[in-house]
Amino acid sequence: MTVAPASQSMMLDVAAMGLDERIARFGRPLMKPGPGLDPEVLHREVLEEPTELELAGEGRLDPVDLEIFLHKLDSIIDDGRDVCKYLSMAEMLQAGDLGVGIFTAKGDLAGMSTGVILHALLHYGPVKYVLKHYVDDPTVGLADGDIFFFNDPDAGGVHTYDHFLMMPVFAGGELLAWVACGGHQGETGSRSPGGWSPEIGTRYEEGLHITPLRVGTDFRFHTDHLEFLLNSVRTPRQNSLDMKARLAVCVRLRQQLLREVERRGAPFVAAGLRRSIKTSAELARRRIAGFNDGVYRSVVFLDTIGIEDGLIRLPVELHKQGDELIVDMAGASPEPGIGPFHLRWHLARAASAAALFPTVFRGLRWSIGLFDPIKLTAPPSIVNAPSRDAGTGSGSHTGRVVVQGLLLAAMRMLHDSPHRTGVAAPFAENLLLIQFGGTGQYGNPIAGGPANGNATGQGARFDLDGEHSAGFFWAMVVDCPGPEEQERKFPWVYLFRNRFDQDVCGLGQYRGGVGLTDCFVIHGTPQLSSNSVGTGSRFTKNYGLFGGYSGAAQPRIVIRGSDAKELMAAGAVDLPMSVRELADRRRISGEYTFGHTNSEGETVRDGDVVVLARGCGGGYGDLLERDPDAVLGDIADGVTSPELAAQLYGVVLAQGRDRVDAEATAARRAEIRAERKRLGRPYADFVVDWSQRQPPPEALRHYGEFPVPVQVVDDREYPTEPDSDRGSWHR
Amino acid sequence: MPSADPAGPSLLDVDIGGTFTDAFVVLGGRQATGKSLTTHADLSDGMIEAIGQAARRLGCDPADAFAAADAVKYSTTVGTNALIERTGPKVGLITTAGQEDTVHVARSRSWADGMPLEVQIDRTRAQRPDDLVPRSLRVGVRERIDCFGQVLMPLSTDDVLGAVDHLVRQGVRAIAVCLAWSFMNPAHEQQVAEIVRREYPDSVLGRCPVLLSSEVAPRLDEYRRSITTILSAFLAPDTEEHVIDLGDRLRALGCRKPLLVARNIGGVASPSRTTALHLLGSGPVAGLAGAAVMARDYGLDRVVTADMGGTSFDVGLVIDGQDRNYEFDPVINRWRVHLPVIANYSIGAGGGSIAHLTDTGELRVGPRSAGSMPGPACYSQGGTEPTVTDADVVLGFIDPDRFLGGTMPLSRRRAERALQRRIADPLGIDATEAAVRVRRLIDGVMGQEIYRQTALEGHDPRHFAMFAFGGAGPVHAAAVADYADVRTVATFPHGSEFNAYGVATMPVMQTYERTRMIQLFDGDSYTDEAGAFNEVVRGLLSLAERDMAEEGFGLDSVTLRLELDMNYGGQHHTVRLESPRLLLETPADTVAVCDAFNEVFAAAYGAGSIHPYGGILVQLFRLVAGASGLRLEARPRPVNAVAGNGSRPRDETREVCWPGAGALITPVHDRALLPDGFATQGPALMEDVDTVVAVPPGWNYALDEQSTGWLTAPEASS
Repeated sequence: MTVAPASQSMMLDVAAMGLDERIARFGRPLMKPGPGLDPEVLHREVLEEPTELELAGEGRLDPVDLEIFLHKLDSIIDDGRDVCKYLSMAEMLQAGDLGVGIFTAKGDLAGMSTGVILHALLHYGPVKYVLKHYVDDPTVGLADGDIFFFNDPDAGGVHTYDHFLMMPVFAGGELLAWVACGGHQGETGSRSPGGWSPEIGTRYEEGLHITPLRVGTDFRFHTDHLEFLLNSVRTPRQNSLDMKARLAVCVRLRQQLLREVERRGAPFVAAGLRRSIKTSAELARRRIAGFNDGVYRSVVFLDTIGIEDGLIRLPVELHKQGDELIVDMAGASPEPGIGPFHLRWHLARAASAAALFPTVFRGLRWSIGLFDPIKLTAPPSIVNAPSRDAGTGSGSHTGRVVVQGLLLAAMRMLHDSPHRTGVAAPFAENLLLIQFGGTGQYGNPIAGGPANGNATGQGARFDLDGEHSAGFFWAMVVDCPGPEEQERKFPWVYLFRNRFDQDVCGLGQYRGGVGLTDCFVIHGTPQLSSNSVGTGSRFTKNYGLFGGYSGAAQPRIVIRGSDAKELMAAGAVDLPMSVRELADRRRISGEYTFGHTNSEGETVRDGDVVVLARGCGGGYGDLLERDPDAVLGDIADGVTSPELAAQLYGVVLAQGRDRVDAEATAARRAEIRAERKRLGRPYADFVVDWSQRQPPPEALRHYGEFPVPVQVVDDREYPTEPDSDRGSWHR
Repeated sequence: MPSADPAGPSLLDVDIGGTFTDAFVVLGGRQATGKSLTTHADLSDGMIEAIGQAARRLGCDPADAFAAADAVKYSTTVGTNALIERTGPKVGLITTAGQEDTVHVARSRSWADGMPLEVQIDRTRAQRPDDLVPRSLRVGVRERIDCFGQVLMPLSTDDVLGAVDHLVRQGVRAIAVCLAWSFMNPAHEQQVAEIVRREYPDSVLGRCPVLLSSEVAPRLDEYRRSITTILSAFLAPDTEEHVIDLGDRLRALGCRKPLLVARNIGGVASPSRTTALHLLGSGPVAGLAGAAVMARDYGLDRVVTADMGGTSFDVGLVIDGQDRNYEFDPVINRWRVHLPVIANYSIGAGGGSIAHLTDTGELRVGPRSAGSMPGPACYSQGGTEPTVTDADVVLGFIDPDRFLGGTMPLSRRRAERALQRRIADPLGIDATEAAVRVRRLIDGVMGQEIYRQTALEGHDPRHFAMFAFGGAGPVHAAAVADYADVRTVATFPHGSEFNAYGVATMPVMQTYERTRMIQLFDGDSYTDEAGAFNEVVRGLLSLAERDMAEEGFGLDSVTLRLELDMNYGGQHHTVRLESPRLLLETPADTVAVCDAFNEVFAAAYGAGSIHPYGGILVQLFRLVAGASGLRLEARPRPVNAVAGNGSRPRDETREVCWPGAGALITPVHDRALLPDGFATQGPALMEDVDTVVAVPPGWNYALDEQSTGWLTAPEASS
């Protein structure tokens, strides 16, 4: 085999190939343009040409007009997000795991809500698909009042568990814009109640895959389509209500846009939408130009593919040149072929916004324009899975790890720039999601899980500690429901929840924030089926930055046949109040399981205890630089033990433990520094030793070639060494 | 007690603001206003001074006014500083073990609560406020109650004793108690209070109030319930001390009638039935009550109030003559509370808002303000950053020689220079163009806020009239209205005392809430939950009867309104319904309530959003009991309001640069000299002592017999 030169790889345009050619070349159809799917649409990175209406309105916009228009646009979009939250029933939607977007007539995203970042960034796919394939199809067509549903990730969804509606907006008979809204529905008729099946073989076990489907005309749903969709899921009432919520939002967005048309004319609105994208693009380029040119690297690892555990390598190289960025993921582990952790190129691209928008582009207005100076390249691998059948239900987990890597690389770029205030270790993302199916305490059907993943720890900043339980990796504006709210929704009672675990956050000069840990006892129902999905129970991904430690990995614990409720009734005052107490003292009797994050088809019964820990943010900087009084504060807050403070921070408390022993601390820190020197070795020696090490084979079964997986395409190996001329490999 | 005087009650009404204390006095049917600087050391000094001034304007000796008053009512900001400066007492929290960090975790992203939008989405720099109760003062006790109110684990008396002992040793001066599901079953919280009273009587502990969340805010969600209870404890000492002192002084001045405080949840009530938390933001809520009376008087269904001062722009709504539009999820300072706060939204935009360029060269105005010191550049107090007022001076809207009646000359040169250096030069434009852009942008941002509170709340802004208040309000009102899609604007001659007038219009009112989930429709048929529904309502009625009797009113003289927070099954968000029935006495009553809910829901979110299929549920009951009497129910007619004297408008013009129309020679009128019925078309300026009404080209201006100046947009007036 030979290594393909970059220039040859640039010529390989998979999307442009016919099916036969692709089968001949790859032995598989890859992203076959299938029913409702069109890779050419999904992989389109350039903005569409302006419409005549947009061109007509260009001259009517001055900077102040534009600013006020964008202000209004953002208000309309944020209102749409809030209304979707208010009207929806699914827990995740109520918590804000959703997105709202407004698009130009040709499908470019002009404005998006601040719920979850990636949703709206994907919806150009279905819009452009409808425009390309349905508008002129006499059996479909496009008219004012049409309502389209979609959830297929290959059509522009995230995973099948996220459901969306989109609607064209016509003004005076002319297509002016598109609006779209939706988010994490959960139940979608997949193998497990509430979705998130970790043990699937292929995508066909992940429930409905709906490519853009016209489910309504004249602003009303077609009863037959709606009943088909609702009959395919376990929670028809919930899904029905949430469909209505999405429709209400689309109608509302449309009305507000049309009122603006009434006031200022269709050309003004059309041109305003387009200008919002162009302006974002210009500002993004200006921002990038201010960073140092260079290549910034990171390598991160996934520890599971759902159905099995194992290490997956996910490298990121960020090439910054002039006013452009190339995100290169060459060297990623290959597509496992089974399980739900596959990512497609368009999903990886949308996911990268979660890393770049709030940090590199901090303070800029969000639209597809911010992607204008960015190219994302990924060879066929787990992050650009070529197999049509590959499951993508947990692709968002893989996406998160890609984002962690991209963040770590981007922080290196930001650190020496005028935008250092954006430097932070990533938000924790060792996410553990659990779903339940069964009957609730009010006799109601349940298929879904709590949104407690919205209370993970923040990574440390370059000048501040991370906040505890402060949010969700993907989202800017999400809530975590309180214990009472969830005890009303789900049949359980918390033994402990809003009480921080000790010694789990990432340490550093600034420490990461602690995430929420749940411990609940099933109560009010005989039994529930459950499945869980997540990553980070074997190998943490809550990375620290510039010497800061990572946040801890965390297991999933279940105690079956427990006597917890009997102990409560008897008033046992020594019930555990933390994971450590629970695991070490075993005061609750029963069968303890310390599992990994992923499980499927399990049953929990009345009285069983479930423990789910959420991730903690990584630290920033050298531990020995941390202000000893800040360590004392951590001890008072219960997040750091005095023993760990002495061992790692080198902070020794005076007798009484209410103040720092300055002298003993200085001595302890000197001792640690001396030990570091003693362990120091020449770099070459380290490399020799390190290169001989290798994880055990069972950890590498999905890894690919160790240490750097090689992608083989067209009988050629894709280069794995850094290469500056690698700009366009992204199919 | 309602007055039998045919001229109506004699009322002494006061609004204590951050800078000024305003009085609105009604004696024998005649009205007058008074004004004093707010006396922060002792708020009652300024209050008594302002009342005295108003009384004297009515030719009445202040002592006689105090003796004659049927009630003294006032709104105050006492407590605000305690919150900002964290000078309240040390508060301890007793909560359910295992949930000690609830008030810190809040709802995870609560670090964004109470912050401007740009901070809310800047997660990288997220910072929570310092805990009101630090971790060392949050103590868990072992107990558990479930969602049905059943006790799963008895309260550990030992834990309670240990917790109180710990808190007392730490020197707490108040204890808040919030246990899981206490609003369903308060038994454990009551036990905690009982234990504290028994083991730590005042003689041992000194005065250390114990506040139970089941009494302060008996609603779902332990974070909001805890915070509401903690804030009440935190603010109580300052407020109580102030109210007791004021009562003593008023009695010493001969006042024998009740002292009533305005509340942010609407209405006035005696201090004994008010928590400190009710007082925060009560002034603007009083203003809204006044606007509601004015709206009814003018026969306006929809009014939006817009108050633009130096640093903030406040927006409130009056719908169908009602000011009772609640904030959905009210935030006080940095915390979400359980309190039916009357909505009055505020953004950082005002005359002092600073114009600046972002690092990428885009113009922004606010939310940062130059405040009163150094103030805008034209104040010549050292300010060099250009503000909205500077733009108004440069464009000719504000005459530098007549600002505040000529008492404070402004420097046009400094205004121009600030705009030139900070905005015009970097953008390559001249200072006038920079001023135009600043003015358009701030008007657009303010208009947007009104649009947000009207159009995005399901209303059509074109059906609204805007009441413009504040020093900077009328200067910008028409332009703001245009951006907001509002076509009619009213400006008033007594705008600065409006909140005090509002206090005068507020009835004695009590509000009671209970969280109870009751399903009225199960998705297929109506349920028979009338018994449970009526039990809750009767419980609230008995509380209302008790309290109103203590205020001197029988239930027969009290207006009762039942509000229900309702939703469709599974939704978390609720929609407020003014229930068409107080009690469900027949199956038709249940149907009527469900129908009314569907109607309200459809009006808010569109007809397609209603979803009875999911079931129709009541989540929260709120009974509002309001007494007639002790209030003014008409528009203000103070004797000292400057009325038009019928003289001819002075013949004066100056060049004003109107955004969109350019520099125009514009007639300038002295508003105080204009006769009733005066009408003109823009461009025109109406100068008053404390403000200028700007009438843009094409807009109409007309003064009615009450000296209200009405601005109407071109289309509306045609």
